[in-house]
Amino acid sequence: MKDHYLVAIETSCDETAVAILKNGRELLANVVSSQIKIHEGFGGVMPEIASRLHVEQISLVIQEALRVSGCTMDMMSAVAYTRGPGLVGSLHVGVLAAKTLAWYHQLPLIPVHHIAGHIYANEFVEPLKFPVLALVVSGGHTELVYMKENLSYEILGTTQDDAVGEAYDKVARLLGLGYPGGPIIDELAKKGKANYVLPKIKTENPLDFSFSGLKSAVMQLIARIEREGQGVIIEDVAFAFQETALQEIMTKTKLALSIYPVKQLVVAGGVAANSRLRSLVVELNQQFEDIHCSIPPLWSCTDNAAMIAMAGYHLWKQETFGTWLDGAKPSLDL
Amino acid sequence: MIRCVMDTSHKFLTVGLFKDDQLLFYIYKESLKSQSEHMIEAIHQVFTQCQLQPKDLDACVVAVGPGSYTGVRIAMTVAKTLFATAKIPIYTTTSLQLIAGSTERAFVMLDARSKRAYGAFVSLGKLVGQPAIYSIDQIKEVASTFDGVLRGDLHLLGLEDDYGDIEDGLTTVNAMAQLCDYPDALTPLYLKSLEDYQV
Ligand SMILES: [Zn+2]
Repeated sequence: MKDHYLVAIETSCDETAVAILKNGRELLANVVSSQIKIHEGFGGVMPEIASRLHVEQISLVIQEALRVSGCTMDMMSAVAYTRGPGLVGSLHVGVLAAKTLAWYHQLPLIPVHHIAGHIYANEFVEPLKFPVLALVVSGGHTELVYMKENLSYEILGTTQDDAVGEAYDKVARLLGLGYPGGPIIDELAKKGKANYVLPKIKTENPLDFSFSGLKSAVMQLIARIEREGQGVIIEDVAFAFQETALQEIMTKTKLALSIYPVKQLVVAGGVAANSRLRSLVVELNQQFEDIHCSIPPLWSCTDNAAMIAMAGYHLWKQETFGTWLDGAKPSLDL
Repeated sequence: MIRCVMDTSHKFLTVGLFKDDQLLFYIYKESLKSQSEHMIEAIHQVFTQCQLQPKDLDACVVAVGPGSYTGVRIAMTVAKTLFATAKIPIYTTTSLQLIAGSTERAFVMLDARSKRAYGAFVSLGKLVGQPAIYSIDQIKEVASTFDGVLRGDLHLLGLEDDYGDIEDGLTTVNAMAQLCDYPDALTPLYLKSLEDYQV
């Protein structure tokens, strides 16, 4: 059989990324130009600046991916790209670049959902075994997704307000720490103790999430400690917040595992890089021995185009192609 | 020499195809919010109409702005992508020159929102000085003293908009566009500095 090469583009937030995947397995190039250093200065991603930087980077990142892979565009079978969700101005750049490649090199287009990409990033470790429960945790998403088979998605629960990564960023800001909040709080929490107690969060649907109340609780906790004239032990606040947030996520994940027939649990998204969450997943695996648990490699937790290529590969096998008229969709459904 | 002229930096989506200095076919339509969706389709239509293949393309001519919204990035992303994989050279121009066309003396204004406008003097297809941001009062002052032709979003002055003759505009910018030495480093002309965002 002829070799199959897929080029994929991801620009949904603050990484300009292009990857080349051979035969749905071999990652020949995975180039990511991150803007994080620039956005750090603003304490969060500035949408207008993000899209400006994507335009600046896009041609270089495409050329670098081709160079690293040793491929030419003539070898490609299709172009996959992130259609959504994400920042509209950022998405536009990747969408246009993908469509341009498809038009000029006469290749089919494969629009990919960003979260599908995060889920399929796990296939860089091993193929998914269905039914799969995906725990999607990132700066924009907190979802439990049930997949009966390839490319079928049922949202069991989702956040009613902030995403968990967003909560990390907001709490980090409250504590006067930097951006992004996830890695900083994760580090501090390692040095913290169970000194403060934060309330559990309630949601109407037991599989849904909510984090805005937790952020307010952290704010009230800090105010109370200060009122009582005590010093705020930042490490302990980080510990209390992280434990409450992640235990919440694990409780709901376990509940979903007890309701649905699941063969494999996968964790997906930026927060999957969190060290405490990774160890909680290992613990959970000891409780649910017949369920296979997988955590994506650290490199694929943050946004990249390799994951878009992997999801795109499955869409290509099903011949799920898009058209030139497909626009960026900031709030695309899975 | 097949050249494709593209402008998405104001409310029109413009794609024109040239064989040397001869305009073969063009699409010119108002498309404020949907340029991203229609851009490639428009390019495809223009090529199909001229019975040309994508690989017949020898160069792109891109209007780099001015503008401050997504549109200004669309044509540029297309051109930079073509450069990335097919080394198709990029020539640059501005929407202001496209609107001025071959007019001997023109002042072109484009709505930049918030009671401001992008403006530039253009003479025989060339910019006279740099495009800049004007307040509406400044635009009115220019209009009252300038003895050339006023073009663009003239509703800013309470007049009827006038975007000139598109065929003349396309032919003029195709002839006058400047070759860009470093296409990878090409950025849109935003006329709004990054510092403006650091509030
Ligand atoms: Zn992501």
